[in-house]
Amino acid sequence: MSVPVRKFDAVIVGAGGAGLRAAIQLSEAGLKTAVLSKVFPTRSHTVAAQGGVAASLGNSEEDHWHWHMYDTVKGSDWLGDQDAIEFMCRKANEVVVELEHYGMPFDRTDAGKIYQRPFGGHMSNFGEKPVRRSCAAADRTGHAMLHAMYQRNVKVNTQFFVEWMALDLVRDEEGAVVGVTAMEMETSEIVMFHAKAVLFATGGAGRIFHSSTNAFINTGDGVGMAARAGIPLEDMEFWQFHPTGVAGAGVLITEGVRGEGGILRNSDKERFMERYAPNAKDLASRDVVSRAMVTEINEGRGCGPNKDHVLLDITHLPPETILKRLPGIREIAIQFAGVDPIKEPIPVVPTCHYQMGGIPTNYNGEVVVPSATSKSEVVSGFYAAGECACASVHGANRLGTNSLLDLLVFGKSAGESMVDFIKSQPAAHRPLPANACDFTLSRVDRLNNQRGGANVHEARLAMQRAMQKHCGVFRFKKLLEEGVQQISEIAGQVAQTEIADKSRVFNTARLEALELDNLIEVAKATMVSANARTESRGAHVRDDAPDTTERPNGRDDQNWLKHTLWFREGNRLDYKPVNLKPLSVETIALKKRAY
Amino acid sequence: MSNVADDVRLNPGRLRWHCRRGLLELDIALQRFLDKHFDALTPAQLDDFANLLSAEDIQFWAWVSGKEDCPFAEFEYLLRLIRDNTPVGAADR
Repeated sequence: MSVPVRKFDAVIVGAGGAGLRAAIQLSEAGLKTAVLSKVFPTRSHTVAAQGGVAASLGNSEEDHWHWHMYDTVKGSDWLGDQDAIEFMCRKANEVVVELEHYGMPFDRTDAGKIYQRPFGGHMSNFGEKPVRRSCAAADRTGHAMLHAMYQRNVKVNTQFFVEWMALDLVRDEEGAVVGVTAMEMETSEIVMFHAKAVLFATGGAGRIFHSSTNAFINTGDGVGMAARAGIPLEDMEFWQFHPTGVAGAGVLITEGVRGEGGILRNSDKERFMERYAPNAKDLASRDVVSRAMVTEINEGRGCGPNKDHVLLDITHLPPETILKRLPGIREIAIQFAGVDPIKEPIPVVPTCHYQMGGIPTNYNGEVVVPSATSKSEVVSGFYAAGECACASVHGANRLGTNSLLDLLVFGKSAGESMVDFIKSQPAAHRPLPANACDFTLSRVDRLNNQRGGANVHEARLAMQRAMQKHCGVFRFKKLLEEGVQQISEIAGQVAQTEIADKSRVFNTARLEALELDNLIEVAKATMVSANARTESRGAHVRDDAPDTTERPNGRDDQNWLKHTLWFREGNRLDYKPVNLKPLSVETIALKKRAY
Repeated sequence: MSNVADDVRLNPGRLRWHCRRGLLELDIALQRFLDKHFDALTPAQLDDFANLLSAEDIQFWAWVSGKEDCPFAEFEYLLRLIRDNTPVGAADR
């Protein structure tokens, strides 16, 4: 079967914040740039970001990029690479001002400057006191950002392929990336996008967990494609969780509910936080609350038919208080839990929010892999930015408002690197290997012709439940070991998925099966990496790595101050050192992470 | 009204895919709607639904959640169906 070929200088997969920012760079340089997206660009998951973007502009009070860098290194629990973190914090002001020039309607001070507000973890003078560093556009920062950058791209003639799903990364005999295969949803036609450089900006894969705040499109397509193409995945054991998402749905219940007097209860209706945090009780920090909830569920005191959640109770509050102080929450509970919180408690569970790991890159957005001579050799023609990439600036945990900054800074730097690379290349594209599309065609053929295989919905649910139980916010040695086995069995089912509907026009069943092929790679990487890392660090917390004097918070710098690399081939792990050397300043020295 | 079968804009698979949004809240509410009400829509209603789906996510959710009133009367019955929260087990994705 012959596959049509389309040629571009650059192909970008994903039209959220990182993809759009990179595309501006490429199109402005006059390069022929295609952006592929499963959904219309302004419906990317970046739209859900409300918090703002961090930049030490100092508009509201004195601030400095070095203080921002310190906060980010500390937030990362020292797993972040200090060169990349310095780069990001120093570039922040420039990318925020550029965005303002693209038409981003930032909130303003009376004097007309960008207004800045405080956000958790951002401090002045190396951790001394909170600082106002977040730049926002009301509560719709992500929405405004997508619009400003999409319009800029239209102006500079970026070519959008909307409702196209990229299927596989194509590399030549020397390992250089020469394009991607993709499917047009309207026709199910497969096309080869031949490019001099490819950027993955496909976002996170939070849908591997049963409870996730991520939109349904967040299926880790870039991460899965990279893994299938032999690229290792970095630090996939690190996922940020929020303590209270609506059980079964994932929609967030703000911490303000506990602030107003909400109480967490187990199946015995017991206020269990009194046992875990006698003073702070339900107002204890996020990680303490999350761990207590998981412990209750694991010890059999969870609620509901599957005993898989706890209850957030505000029925003792006067209805006027709920209606006045928590109106949005009442609507969310009614819509997604089917309960009116005035009368009944809300089922909640710790919920996955953000992926810290991903495709390994340097701060230029170039994808780097170990080779015979180096731990970080550049893969020719391949770039990644945003949540799907691991630069690594978030390390073991991300600070709020650093995700929007990440996609602006590394979207731009990846775009710049691609421009330089493409201009350094001969006019002709590197030839496509003869079998460029065979792998994709065989995958899609297998799916179309599978008989007696697994149901996509059931296999996905099995994966999500296994991840939630065995590799959630609080991790247990025995559960992790069992989880590795379970996920490997589920991967066997995913390799045999079957679809009943074989139609060609917008066949959502086929698309969901192809998405599951990507999710399962992320799930395997996460489970195997988490099982191997026998310390607690940042968002990766194990019961058998407790807080001691030698190992504060369970962190073991002697053995585990290193990045994980998971290889799909052989389900194998390797490690590489954390870069503790910044670009221009002194190393931010290791110490206990305490707030 | 054109023949639905020939009109790609109203293709049911296409409209189902357009229920994939940037916000999880909308994904869940629309999936529930697809599972319970979508198949019963008339061609004229499919046309309204296609128009409603062209709304921006933030605006759309404000209408569904009741935070803002939708100024377009022709969407009101659809929004009422999208708000219908009786469970179908569709939140498992």
